[in-house]
Amino acid sequence: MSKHKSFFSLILFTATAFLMRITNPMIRRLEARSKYLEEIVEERTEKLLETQEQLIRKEKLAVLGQLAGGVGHELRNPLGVMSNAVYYLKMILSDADEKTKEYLDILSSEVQNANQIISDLLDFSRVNSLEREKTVVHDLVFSILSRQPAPENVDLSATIPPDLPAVFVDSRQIRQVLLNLITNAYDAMPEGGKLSIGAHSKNGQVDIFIVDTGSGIPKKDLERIFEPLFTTKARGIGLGLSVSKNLIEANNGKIAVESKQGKGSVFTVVLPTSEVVS
Amino acid sequence: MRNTLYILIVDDDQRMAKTLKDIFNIKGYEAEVTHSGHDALKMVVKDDFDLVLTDIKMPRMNGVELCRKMRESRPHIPILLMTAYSTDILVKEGLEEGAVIALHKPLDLESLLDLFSSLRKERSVVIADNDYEFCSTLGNILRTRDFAVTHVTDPQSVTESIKSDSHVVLLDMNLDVTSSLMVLERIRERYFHLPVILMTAHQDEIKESIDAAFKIGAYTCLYKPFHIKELFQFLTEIRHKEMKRVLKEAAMRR
Repeated sequence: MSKHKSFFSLILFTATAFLMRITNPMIRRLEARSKYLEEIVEERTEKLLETQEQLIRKEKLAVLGQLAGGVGHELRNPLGVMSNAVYYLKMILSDADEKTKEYLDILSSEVQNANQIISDLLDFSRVNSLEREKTVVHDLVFSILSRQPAPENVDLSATIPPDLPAVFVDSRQIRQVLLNLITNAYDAMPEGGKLSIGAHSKNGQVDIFIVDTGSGIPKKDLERIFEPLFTTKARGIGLGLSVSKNLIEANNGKIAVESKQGKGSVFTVVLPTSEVVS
Repeated sequence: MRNTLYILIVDDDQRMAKTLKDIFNIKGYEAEVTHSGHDALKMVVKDDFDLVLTDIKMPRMNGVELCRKMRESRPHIPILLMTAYSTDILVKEGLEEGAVIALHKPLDLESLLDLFSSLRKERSVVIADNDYEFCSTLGNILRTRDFAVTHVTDPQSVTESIKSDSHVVLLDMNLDVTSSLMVLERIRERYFHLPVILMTAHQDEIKESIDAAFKIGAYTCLYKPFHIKELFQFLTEIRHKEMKRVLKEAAMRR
């Protein structure tokens, strides 16, 4: 009897050992799988929260934008009267002393600044429909530069091949973006420097480079410069680059930045050449 | 007739209207101000304004409605819109209703004044009529209204008498219709946009030829003896149309 018992015990032990040998790796695999799934769930939950936060922030910004846009519009009326009044005074005081002229210039330039802030707010708060057309980058860049010449202490060089394929974009919107990037570059070089604008084409797109030798952007700010209301400037409300990014993306393009503090920045704008939506 | 631009400013913002009037006055233009569309409608009928500069957003009658109403009473006066609202759907509607240009506030006064200076006020008329007496009396009347006048009594030399700054040709259609039509054709060939107003004392006899002249592109026909007021109405209409053309071209370049 005891012989049988020990025999069964042996079989049971062997079977258990055998089963454990088989199931242990399975359990380990299951445990690993479960851990992996938990991690995924955690990661996805984080992403979901992040997206929700972004959405809420976007909604808040949209409401703020609408409100600010409305106020901005209303402000253009009194600004218009101020602008007229300064223009009148400048006309009748053409032989005034230098100090008076300086103060009149200050007034008109501040009216322009205020109007620019309103324009930025309005650009941010509205979604304009696109009017895409074939646009020659060479002509666009040089027409911007003729209207926005470099300050005396900035050495400007623009080498854009005139035979680059035309880009298929809303030329007004892209003009606004390039003008913004060029003005930012001038602002980054108050002590003077060099601004180089170049372009080349590859894989059905045109890359435009705006390279300055200005103060550069600190690494911690680099990720945030396209965020709305982020600014490192003493003046301005920090919508220029955010609006630029929105406009470029609406035109199926991309915008990127590389910068080294104290050395300067490179902004790259990539624009599509064909009508195919990427 | 004034020898400078006569501008009607319409804006419910009294200070905007006043500052614009003062600026235009200093620059040598004449200007009147009103703060409502209804008053503006009355004023354009009463006075010979060269152009109307109106705000869009106004209580009761907005700038677009003013454009629409003016199309009925004074269809040719150029209307310039002003707005503080860059995405305003009314801007589009106003342009569809015939306004020539929409300007954004704060106004770029430098550009606006450049635009005004491109609208020549002085007028030059060529009168082609073999009746010397008629040429002379009509010429004298036009001169009193500050028109520069050139007389031509020989039909063959009409095209040679037209200068680059001529605005209108008053061409007599006498019984020698073939010769008159040939002159008209030559003018159309060389100066396509130059308006030609026909004058004739033979309404019934040469009816077919007048129809032929319209087909070639005559602007209108006055039957002698015509009332001088009628002629001035056409001259004003032509002037407004030309101003609109210049303003539209300027708007395209902006």
